[in-house]
Amino acid sequence: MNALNQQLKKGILEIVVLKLISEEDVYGYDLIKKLEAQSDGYYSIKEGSLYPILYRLEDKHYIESYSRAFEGERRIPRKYYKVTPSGSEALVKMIDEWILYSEKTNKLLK
Amino acid sequence: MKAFEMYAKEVTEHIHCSNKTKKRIREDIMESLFLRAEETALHDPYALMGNPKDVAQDFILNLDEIKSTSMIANSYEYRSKVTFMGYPLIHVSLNSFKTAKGIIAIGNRSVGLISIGGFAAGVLSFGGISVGIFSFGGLALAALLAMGGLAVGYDVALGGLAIAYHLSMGGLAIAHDLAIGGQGLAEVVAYQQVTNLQSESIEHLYKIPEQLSAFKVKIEQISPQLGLIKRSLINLFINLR
Repeated sequence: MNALNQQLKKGILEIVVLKLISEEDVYGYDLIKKLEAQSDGYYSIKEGSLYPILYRLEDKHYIESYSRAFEGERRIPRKYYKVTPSGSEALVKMIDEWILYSEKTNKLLK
Repeated sequence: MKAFEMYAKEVTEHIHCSNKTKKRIREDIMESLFLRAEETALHDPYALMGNPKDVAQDFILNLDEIKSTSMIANSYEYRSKVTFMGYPLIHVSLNSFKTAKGIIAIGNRSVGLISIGGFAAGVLSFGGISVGIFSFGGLALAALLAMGGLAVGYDVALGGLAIAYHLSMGGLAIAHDLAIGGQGLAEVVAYQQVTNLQSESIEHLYKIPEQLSAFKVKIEQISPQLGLIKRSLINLFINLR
């Protein structure tokens, strides 16, 4: 059951992550916390699961990263991600696809 | 900072992917460690993120690049437990993405005191392309002795095409000081075949074997500059030809 759960999450995480980035510019660790908080702990993932998704989205040019430096003790700047116009378009299509997929699947499973 | 860097490096050592992706992962892990440290006031990366192998495993399961190179990722690697200054005594890596680094290093790419590989760099290196103090290979570049199809050395070069500052010996030998071979170009040249390379501007020109005795006399004259090892090499080379 756990393996199925992981597979299902893996498939949908790319959409969820892109959706969160589309709402506001965000850095990696913040995404991990937001995913957990906004899903009531259901999407509790680690860096090794999140960053490969970010790399994929970046390679597809759906998101872009930029560095923001902070004053004080921090010695490395934070890497923020923002959605690109093609990422926004892709997100709309992905969500439509998901809605269709879940409707049809739910219909079959009822 | 150093502990975080070491931790991030340790994670990527378990992941067989391109250097570009490794750099990306290292930077992201460093950032996460800093943020976790700020949040928790802990500074031990192991306490902050857990066992590096587990973190690496997570990346391995999710990186597309790894899925397309899983055969390479499974390729052979051996690292001896005995280390010297942080480097293993023996490191064998047949992984295209990973350079073998050790006192004795063997791999597609290798760096070590004794280095054997497709591309080998070391004090004593053997390889398709080898770079070092003493290098042997298809293409050998060396400070003291280069031997190979194409050998380029500062002190001595031996090979099909041998180029050196002091002494070159080979099919075509080119040097500043002394060249011995089928054809040669240097201040002092011993050659076997007449070509337009042997111009009259070369002051000390000896055709072998006809002028072998005269060449040996010349070698004796300059022998203090040559030293015992080079003299032995010259004698060996002449006798073999």
